[in-house]
Amino acid sequence: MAVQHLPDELILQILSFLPAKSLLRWRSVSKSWLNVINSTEFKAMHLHNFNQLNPRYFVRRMDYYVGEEYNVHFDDEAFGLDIDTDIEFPFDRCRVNICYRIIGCCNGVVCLCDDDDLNGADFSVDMIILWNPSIRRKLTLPLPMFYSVDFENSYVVLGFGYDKASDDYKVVSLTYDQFSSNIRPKASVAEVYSVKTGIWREVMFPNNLTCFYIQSDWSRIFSNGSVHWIASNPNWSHYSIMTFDMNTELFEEIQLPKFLAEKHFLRISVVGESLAVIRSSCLNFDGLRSEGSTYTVMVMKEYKNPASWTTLYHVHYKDVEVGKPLRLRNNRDMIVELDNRDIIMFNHDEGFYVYVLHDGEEEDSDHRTYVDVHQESLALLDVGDSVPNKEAMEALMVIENQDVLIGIHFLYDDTAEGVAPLSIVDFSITYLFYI
Amino acid sequence: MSKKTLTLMSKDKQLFNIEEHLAVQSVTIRNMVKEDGASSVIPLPRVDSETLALVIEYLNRQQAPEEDEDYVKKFVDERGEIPTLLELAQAALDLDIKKLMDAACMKVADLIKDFTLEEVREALRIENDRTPEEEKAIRDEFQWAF
Repeated sequence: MAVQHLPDELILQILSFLPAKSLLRWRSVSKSWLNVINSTEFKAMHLHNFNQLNPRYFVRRMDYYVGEEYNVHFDDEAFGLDIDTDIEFPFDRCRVNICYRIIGCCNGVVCLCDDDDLNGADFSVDMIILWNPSIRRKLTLPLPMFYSVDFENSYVVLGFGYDKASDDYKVVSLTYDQFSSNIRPKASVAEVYSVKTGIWREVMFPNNLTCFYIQSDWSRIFSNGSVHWIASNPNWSHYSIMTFDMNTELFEEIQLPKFLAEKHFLRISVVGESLAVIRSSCLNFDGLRSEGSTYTVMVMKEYKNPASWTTLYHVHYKDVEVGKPLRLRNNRDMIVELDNRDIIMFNHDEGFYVYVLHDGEEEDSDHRTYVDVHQESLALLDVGDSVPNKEAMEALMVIENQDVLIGIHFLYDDTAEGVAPLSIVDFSITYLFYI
Repeated sequence: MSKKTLTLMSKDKQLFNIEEHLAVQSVTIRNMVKEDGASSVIPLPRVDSETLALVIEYLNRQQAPEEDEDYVKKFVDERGEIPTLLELAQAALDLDIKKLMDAACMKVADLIKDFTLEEVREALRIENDRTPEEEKAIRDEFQWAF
């Protein structure tokens, strides 16, 4: 009996529900499958279908002995650990900072940056990487132009996102004057890096924004096609949300409700499609806790309409210390990190905490925990490089080839000396595959 | 008032009756009914009788809308064989019943996700048009995924 072929539409549909790892394998099933899996349309369809079926979050934590750890959690009530999804952090330790700063995350691509934030605004960028853990691809970006020219006197604030119209990942960089920043930053210079063009390019920074001053560790999120940062006016007396649209490449400002506009330490998040801002009093560094510990969560029901800011909930504890809010979930739960590094879930309706992670020892008061949506995607498949592959390294060590062993040893030594670790490890991988 | 009934005919010429208000969950049938009133028999030349019986069973379900997601999941789970699911998905595609098609495709994806190249070619009836060298080149690029 002749084999009856299945319609392409059906095959596409089935493939769109498969994990990225299966798709990578099956690119060699046939010529047409390779074309399908590499196509922009399929990547978008897969991103939507697979992740809608498997809603998950990832939690990045810093362990001072082990390094950076990434765990994936299901978006269910228990925030259960997904033990089948193993994300190995492939990069060497940072050269400048203790661990990478995560600039943002979108469509399964994580934007990492190695920077010096130890002195607040006195901050320099050493490396920017885009990383897609589900297909183990990375792209190392050149440093922003303006920053490279005058890095000793400037610092940069970054944002990461995706322009759907041009199917392009972009990083936006704002260069601020280092020495005047605490008093009055000069008008910053803005530039955009596009993965498709591979270059940084200047974009117009408007001079009519009230709040355009941002520090590198202030809260930011990519949503609705734009990067959103909490920004302040030059004398830190007024706050709003500064946005950068990845498609039009225009900066705008979204006003906060009056109640929040004068507050420090705001956190920006999303609930479903809506932008949200969390104000928590426990973030005060000044030691004054006169108002007790409070959370106020407000959502903007209609995007870019400040009149639609609505209080989602307001909680007040007289003498219980609440933690640092990391992110809101779509069910309105808040993911919170406590001072002892426990991560807990705050459910306002139920009125109690659910422990989801228990870390035990406190290592450092400066927490590096980061939570974002985990999506499997084929992004960077056609542009990225393979990430350093530790399994292949270990396998190679077994091979009884003295020259290769010496070669690898040499490479490791160089890495330890601080010579561009990524490119060197990459070279060793290339070497591996051709022996 | 008696409910209007439609007759569907499978590839192997078997006839199935179904109430019109249930049958029009299929966008294809809905359009046919709109166009010519579909007074006579609606032929479905690509759907065999076993599959059509399944589709009719699905269309006849009496589920509250909020239970529908779970129902369709369970419905395809109970037909866990890949060939049956593919027939069902193809019928759902022809008849344009989106929920059923999505659920069947999801189930197939779940069953095949750990398959080898040969197994997936066989399951989804794909001819191998790659030379072993080409296959190896693509494989080497993502060795870890194999």
